[in-house]
Amino acid sequence: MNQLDTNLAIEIAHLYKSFHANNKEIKVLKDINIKIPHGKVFGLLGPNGAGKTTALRIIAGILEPDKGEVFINGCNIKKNKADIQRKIGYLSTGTQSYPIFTGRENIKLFGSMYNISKEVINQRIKELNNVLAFDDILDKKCQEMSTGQKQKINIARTLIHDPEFIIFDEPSNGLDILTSKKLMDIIKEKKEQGKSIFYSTHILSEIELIADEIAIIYKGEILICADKTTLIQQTNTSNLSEAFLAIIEEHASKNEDPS
Amino acid sequence: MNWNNVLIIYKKEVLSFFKNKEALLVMLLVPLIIYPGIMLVTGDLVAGQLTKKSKAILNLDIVDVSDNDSIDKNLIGLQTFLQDRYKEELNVRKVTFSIKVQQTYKSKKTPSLKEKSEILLSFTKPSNPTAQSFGDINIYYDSRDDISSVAVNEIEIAIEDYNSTLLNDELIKRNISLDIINLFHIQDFHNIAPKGHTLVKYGSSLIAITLIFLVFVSCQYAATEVLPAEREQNTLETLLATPLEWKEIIVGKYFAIVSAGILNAFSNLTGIVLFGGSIIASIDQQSYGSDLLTFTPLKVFTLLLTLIPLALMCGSLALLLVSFAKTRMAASYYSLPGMLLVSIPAAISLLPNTELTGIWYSIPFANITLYFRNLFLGNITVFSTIIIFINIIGFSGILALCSIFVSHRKDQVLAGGANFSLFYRPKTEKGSLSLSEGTFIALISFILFTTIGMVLQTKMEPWSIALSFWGFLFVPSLLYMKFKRVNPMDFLKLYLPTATQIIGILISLIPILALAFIFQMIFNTMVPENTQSSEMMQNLILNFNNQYGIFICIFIFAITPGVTEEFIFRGVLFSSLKNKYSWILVILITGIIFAFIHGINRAIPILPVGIFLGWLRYRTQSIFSVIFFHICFNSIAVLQTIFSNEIQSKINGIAPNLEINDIKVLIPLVLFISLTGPLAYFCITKSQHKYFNQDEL
Ligand SMILES: Nc1ncnc2c1ncn2[C@@H]1O[C@H](COP(=O)(O)OP(=O)(O)OP(=O)(O)O)[C@@H](O)[C@H]1O
Ligand SMILES: [Mg+2]
Repeated sequence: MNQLDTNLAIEIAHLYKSFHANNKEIKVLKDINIKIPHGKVFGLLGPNGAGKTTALRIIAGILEPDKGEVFINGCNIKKNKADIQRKIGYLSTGTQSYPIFTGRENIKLFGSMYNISKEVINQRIKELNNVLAFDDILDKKCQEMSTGQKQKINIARTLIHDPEFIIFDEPSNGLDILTSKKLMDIIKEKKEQGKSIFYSTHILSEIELIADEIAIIYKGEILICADKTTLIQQTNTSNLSEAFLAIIEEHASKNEDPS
Repeated sequence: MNWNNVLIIYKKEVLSFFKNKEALLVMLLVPLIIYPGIMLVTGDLVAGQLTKKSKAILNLDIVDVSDNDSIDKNLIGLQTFLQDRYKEELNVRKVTFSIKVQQTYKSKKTPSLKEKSEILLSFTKPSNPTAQSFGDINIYYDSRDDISSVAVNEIEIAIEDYNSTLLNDELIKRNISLDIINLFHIQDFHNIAPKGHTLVKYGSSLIAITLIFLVFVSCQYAATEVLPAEREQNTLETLLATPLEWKEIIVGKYFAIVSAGILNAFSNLTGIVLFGGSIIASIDQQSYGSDLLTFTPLKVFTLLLTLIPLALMCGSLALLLVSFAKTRMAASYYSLPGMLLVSIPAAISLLPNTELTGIWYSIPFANITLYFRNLFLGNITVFSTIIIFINIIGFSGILALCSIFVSHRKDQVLAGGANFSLFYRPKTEKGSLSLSEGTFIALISFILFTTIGMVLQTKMEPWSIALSFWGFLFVPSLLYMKFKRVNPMDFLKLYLPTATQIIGILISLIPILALAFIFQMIFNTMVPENTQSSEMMQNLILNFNNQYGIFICIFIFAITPGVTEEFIFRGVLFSSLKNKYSWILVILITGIIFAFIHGINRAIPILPVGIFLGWLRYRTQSIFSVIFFHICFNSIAVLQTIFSNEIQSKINGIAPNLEINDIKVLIPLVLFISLTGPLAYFCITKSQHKYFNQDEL
């Protein structure tokens, strides 16, 4: 746990997190361990309420774990939070843009928080526009946009500081097939540039396309962590969705047996 | 803290205020409409409220009617009494007063005062020689002078005092006993200031309250937009993912809130200067001259300067309130208590004869209302300005820090409402009492104690008092523990404190006594007539001492409450609550209930003691340390009562009034607290007994 491996982009060790609601303790994460090397796409798969978003929030430094450590590039996030967050791009359903500002204003605002000069911001907006094609909505207020349009702005906002570590939580939310495909292209491109990507979703086709390694999380526990082919082989299935179901079912039945 | 980041957030918030045009317009235009309205509508209303209040007459035939001189003699007596009493203060306050005897009962002309700072007591002799009183006193004063307004209140008390000394003598002479009798009776207070002045004074208060209220509402709106709205529209998480620290974010937001307040305050000021002021000034021009509510550049400048601390104070309160809210809707609920917090003190400052003196300087929102009123009236001094600034900035600083602290708690930044975890303790220990059971037993004990126990206590016998404590506080807690089969050692913390801790507890007596004294002083300034209950207690102690001796006194008034109250408060109630709530809340709850069981009048001075006892129980994990402190504390009170009485009766037979309500006393008290407090803290926390459970901290 204390061995720091700077070859690893993201390392999560013995992560625990629980919430308290209505006098009850909900254990959301139980002993999560993940290691992601540089320049890889890591996919986190799991059903609703499995704890994906919570895990990503902890990695992005938004929540603090009850126990356990998060190392980004070998640095403990607790110690150098601001510096580490500077290198992270985090997108989730919880990270919306300001509805009262236009898309451009939003992107510029967040760009300025990363100390990027105006010229660079404008340059990056242009580059991102080439891929995502949000020219027509850039000067619209976010509250007047459709879900997918907003998501385009959110993606651009997340990538404006050219983050080294990209954390995507269901980024294809609301995107049409065309834009989803473009998003996949962006991810591939970022990967080629040597960036590390942590991608969480419950849409298997996306994961299948891009992930180098896949972890399946269920009720706060990581059931398995392997690449796609091993996953399919291990479960004796023909594709990822079957493998996913098989693993979850196996786990559910295992837990029921003793009772 | 990187101020560049603060600036980014600040700019962003201000920009979004400006984008919301409707809200901005309301913020700027409402004040311009409201002030002329207020002055036109409420001016007359307020003036109508100011009718004279007369008091019920309570007379008694105590004057020897055959002795015609006795009334005159007593009148001269009253005059000397008042003069003696106010010899010093009159010099300080520059108030002169005279007693004028009006011979005819019926004709009461309003006399004229030569100076503002003069108070005239006009005495009317009864026309009928068989009349049953010394006669009525009418008090004339001029409310244009704040000092004489205050002095009038004091004279009223003085006359009552004089009456009671007079009465005492008479009663002793005649060997009769009677209840409360007023010999000189104050019939009326006559404010001879021109009517317009009163209107201006109350009008100014109203303007001040409106100003503060509107500024607070603006701050509240801004605060809602900067925090709950971010939670609601899912943008807070976006902010948290950036390299900005929460400190920077919240400080930027705080300044944005304050700016909104200042912006609104400016618009208020324009409204006041343009409309409110001119309307009042025109009403009052003839009778009072034009210096009221006309705005000289200096006045406007001072006002501008004061608007900043006002906005700081309102902004801090607003931010503190909304930091609990998850949505805009929730924030609007939280804003209600905020509005009450602002307007109640402000409204209290509207009470007749309230002046910006003493404790009013430190009552948030009342102080600034009074200050603004005086500012409008042209009555402020450099001194009061400085004191107000210090008070307000200190207060808003504390609030702002609180709101930063409250909103800073890790997970709660996102979740909002979960802030209550500050007060909430999720861990439950196995095999311990449930909250409801512990509270129930404590409640039953209180009810028994306050009903049957109190009846027993009125018997005023040692056994009855002891029985009420042991029977209704102690026995139920023992029975309950037996019945529940809890481990009393751990449940009640029946562990002895260490020697160092005992020394610490002894030292801590000094700061806690001093604190109790300060709270007593504050309470006395707010509620002047509350000496009754403490006198009753003192008489009881003295009586017991004469009859049964000092040891019975100590047993009844120190050991008995020490042991029994601690068993129930710091024992059963404390241990039950602590499974559910955080220490802060447990200490507060037990402390407050403990204070109030001592009666409403003594609750406030006892509150710091109750809270300290809670902390002591928490920090030492020993009920004996709390009992020890409690016994020592009560013993000191008992011994002080007995010995001060003995010394006094040796000196001159009459117990002089030992009331000390002077702010000067505060300095040595604060010194005592700051010197001995840390020492006591050190001693108490330094060592621990061997069953001390570190996990419970
Ligand atoms: N602030 C919170 N307070 C209480 N419980 C929470 C909180 N946030 C999340 N949870 C609970 O934690 C569990 C995991 O939530 P999380 O959002 O991480 O799931 P997820 O895997 O992202 O699901 P989805 O696929 O639906 O997005 C859920 O059961 C949820 O109810
Ligand atoms: Mg999720």
